[in-house]
Amino acid sequence: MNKIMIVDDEQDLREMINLMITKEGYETEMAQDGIDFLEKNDNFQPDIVTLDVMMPGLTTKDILEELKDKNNKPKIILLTVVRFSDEEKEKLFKMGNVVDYITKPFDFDELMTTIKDNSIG
Amino acid sequence: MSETEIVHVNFWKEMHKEIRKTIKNIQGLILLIHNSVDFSDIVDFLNKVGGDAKSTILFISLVNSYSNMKEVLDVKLLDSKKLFVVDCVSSFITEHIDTIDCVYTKPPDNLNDMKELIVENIQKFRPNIVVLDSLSQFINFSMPSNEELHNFYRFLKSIRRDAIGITNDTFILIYNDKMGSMKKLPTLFTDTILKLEVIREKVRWQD
Repeated sequence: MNKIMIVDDEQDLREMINLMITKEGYETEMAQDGIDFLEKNDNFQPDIVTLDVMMPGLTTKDILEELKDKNNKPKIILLTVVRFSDEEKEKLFKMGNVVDYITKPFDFDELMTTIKDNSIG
Repeated sequence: MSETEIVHVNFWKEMHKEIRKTIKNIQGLILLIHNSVDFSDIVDFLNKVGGDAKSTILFISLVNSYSNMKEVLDVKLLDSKKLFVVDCVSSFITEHIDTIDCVYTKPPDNLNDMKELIVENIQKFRPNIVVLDSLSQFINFSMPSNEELHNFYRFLKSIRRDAIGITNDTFILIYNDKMGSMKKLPTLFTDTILKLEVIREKVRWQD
């Protein structure tokens, strides 16, 4: 079963996503910001990460740069309230292992479908 | 038998002409609640504010990147309005250099920092309309704690004291109702509360 890491500074949302993904049988871990995620990444070795784009501390760009030097390179699903231009979205997909981009507020079914589509095996 | 009691009754009236006049002449601290995620709907609204009079808008964005806003503005023009943008989101994905009409910065961490950002850019751009999009980053309106509400009301009071009446007379706070339903509207601290309801339907093509 794939391992999922939920990275979001909003505690309520983080826990809600975690509850939903756990119900589907995935093994999960949560992180409250980029630093917390990078620390937990080595131990937990997630296959997929849902990553909030706007968090205090490290920027998304910083986090994806840091991941390039790690042994474990999970697939990244970006969650964001931000509306980027098409050109910026293209840049996002070229940064690290970004596989999808979901805008908040989102439907949980949409997130689950995206996770299942990117699951291995 | 239901154990509920009526606490408030709302009256509704179709009055598009009055609404148009209200929007044209709005001043003070405005809360604009909307159900849309499209910047183009905000542009439509801004085009109605102040009518055809020339005005300068300072738009502080925590939702749309300036690049995304430009894509919209290439198709839908802001009539007779000059726009200055403080883009608080693009720095998350790439580095940018400030331009004549856009400043890039990291988003403020709290409402105090937000107020400082507003006052700093009012002094820089001297706008007569300030738009803050969006409030939803700072407060969970669906279940605000007492402390969050207190901070929010203090923010509204300080905006009125420090940001309105110096160079600008209209301050529009944008709130997306999809981010959580506001249980208690801040009626005491705002001059006008408007709800922008965008209704979309599939276009029925006719031969």
